[in-house]
Amino acid sequence: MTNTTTLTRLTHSTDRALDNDLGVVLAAHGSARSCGSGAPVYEHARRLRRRPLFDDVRVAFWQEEPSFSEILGSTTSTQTFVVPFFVSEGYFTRTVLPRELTARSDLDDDSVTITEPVGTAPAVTDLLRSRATDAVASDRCRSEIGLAVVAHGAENDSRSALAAKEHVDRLQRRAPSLEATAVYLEEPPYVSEALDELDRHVVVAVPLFVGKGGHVTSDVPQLLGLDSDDRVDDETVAVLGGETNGQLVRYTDPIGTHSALTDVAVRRVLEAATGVGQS
Amino acid sequence: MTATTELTVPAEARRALRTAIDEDSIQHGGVSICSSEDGVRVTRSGSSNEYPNVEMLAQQHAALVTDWFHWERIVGGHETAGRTLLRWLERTDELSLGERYDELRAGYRRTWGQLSVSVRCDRTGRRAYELRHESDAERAADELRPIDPVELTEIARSDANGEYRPLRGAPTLQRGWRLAADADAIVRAIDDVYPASVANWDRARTDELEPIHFSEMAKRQTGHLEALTEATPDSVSEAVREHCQDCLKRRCWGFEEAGDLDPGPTGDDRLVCPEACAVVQSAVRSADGHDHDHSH
Repeated sequence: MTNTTTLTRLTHSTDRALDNDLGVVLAAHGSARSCGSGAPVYEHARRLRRRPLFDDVRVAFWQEEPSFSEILGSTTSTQTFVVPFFVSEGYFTRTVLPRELTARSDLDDDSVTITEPVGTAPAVTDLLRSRATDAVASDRCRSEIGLAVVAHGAENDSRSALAAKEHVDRLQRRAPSLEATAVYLEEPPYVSEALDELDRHVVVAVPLFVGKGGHVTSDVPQLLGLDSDDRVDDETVAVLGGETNGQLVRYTDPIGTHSALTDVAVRRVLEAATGVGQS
Repeated sequence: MTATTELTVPAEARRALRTAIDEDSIQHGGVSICSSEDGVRVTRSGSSNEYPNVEMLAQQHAALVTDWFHWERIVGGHETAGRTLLRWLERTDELSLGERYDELRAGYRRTWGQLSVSVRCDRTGRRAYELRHESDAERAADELRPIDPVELTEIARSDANGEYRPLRGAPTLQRGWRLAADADAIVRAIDDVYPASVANWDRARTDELEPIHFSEMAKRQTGHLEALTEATPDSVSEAVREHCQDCLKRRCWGFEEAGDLDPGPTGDDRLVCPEACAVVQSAVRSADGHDHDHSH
């Protein structure tokens, strides 16, 4: 046995260690194959754990541990807010998440609240815009940006594509000089059409995804004509870059890695707690 | 000299006790403490002792007071699995208070999957917990990298080669670190390495854990996992052979009932698996020809 010297305490607002008043669960897709899928969600959880906001901060996933179906059985907070780390309202937030959360726990309606997903928050529009401008090095290029918001889309669920369209509509209202379009993996307009859709010298593609799974790290770059060797190292947030038919292409990490998404999650909890901003 | 005779009760514990007995009598470890006309009365097995004040009581019953302070003012969480875990760690059900404090000064250690969890207390009865890999249990503290509790999920998600560990029960937990923690952080830390394990263990030991067998889990699925309803006991057995054999968790679920899959359940008594995880679900789908890596 060795001496334990430093005691490290996570932030906690109640007097007793295991009496939790306010809990939050960040609920995301995750992957049984890719570490990168859940990684940004863990990063948001780490950020929240360092702040004196919640007594208990958890993550839960559809495709990795801990699962949606076991998370509520292991939380003890008086009030728990489940924040979907999904980019759209749809199949996962309306069907899978509520069903799985209650599969093994009796959901006490008074103690658990599922908030709106982070990805549809109007604030995310600004995060997309800042990602795009932070992806190009020079001011001159910034005025030339066309932004492709890359989303999954789903032919059987129009709500999946709607979130990206709403961000694009909002971008056009808020920043008319920025040309923006939404492109999709599974419905038209497809990712491969992004460069044709945007009549700009510089095209920045920002994935409206939470995790860095296979779609983001492999499928989308390929469809944009980029490969993993096309790394850029110019102190911008762009991870890949190239040039196609005179157009400069920059590809960034998914919006799920944006640090401000942690604040969007807190905002979703506040909205759910107060009834403000509920659709 | 035993651990209990060298204990001193910190002022905050004495203050808390005074406040508590001003409100109501206290029951702790088979002892009752209440205020009396002459001061404070301690009653154990029908015999009582009177003390003029809490300070005098604390001098005579230092272990009792510091233990009460620890469980009722530091830990709390009555009826939670976390509290049960911390009490199990100290073996509160097996040892008398005196025996327990003697052991606590030396330090206890118990294993949880590949984790070694330890607790010790100082001269004021304050507990300090520590977590490390069980294979590092005997190593000197300065040979191990001290980590912050928020680092632990990163350690838990990949092995020593940086490979992803989707199966948290896999016997590939990284070594070389140690986490010093208080009561709050230690329970979370164990759950960070083995998600939901504390709650599942607590339910299993009180027979409240209801496994969800594969066919039942498959029936509630929609979308691309709906294909799981086509799985057969053979295809599920194959996935179990491929993945669960390496997992330290004890599988409680079967195809339609417990024990109907070959191989049978193996694994740790503490880590229990009540339902097929995403790794097994994915393997069953692949085996049945639905190989689509829907990797967001």
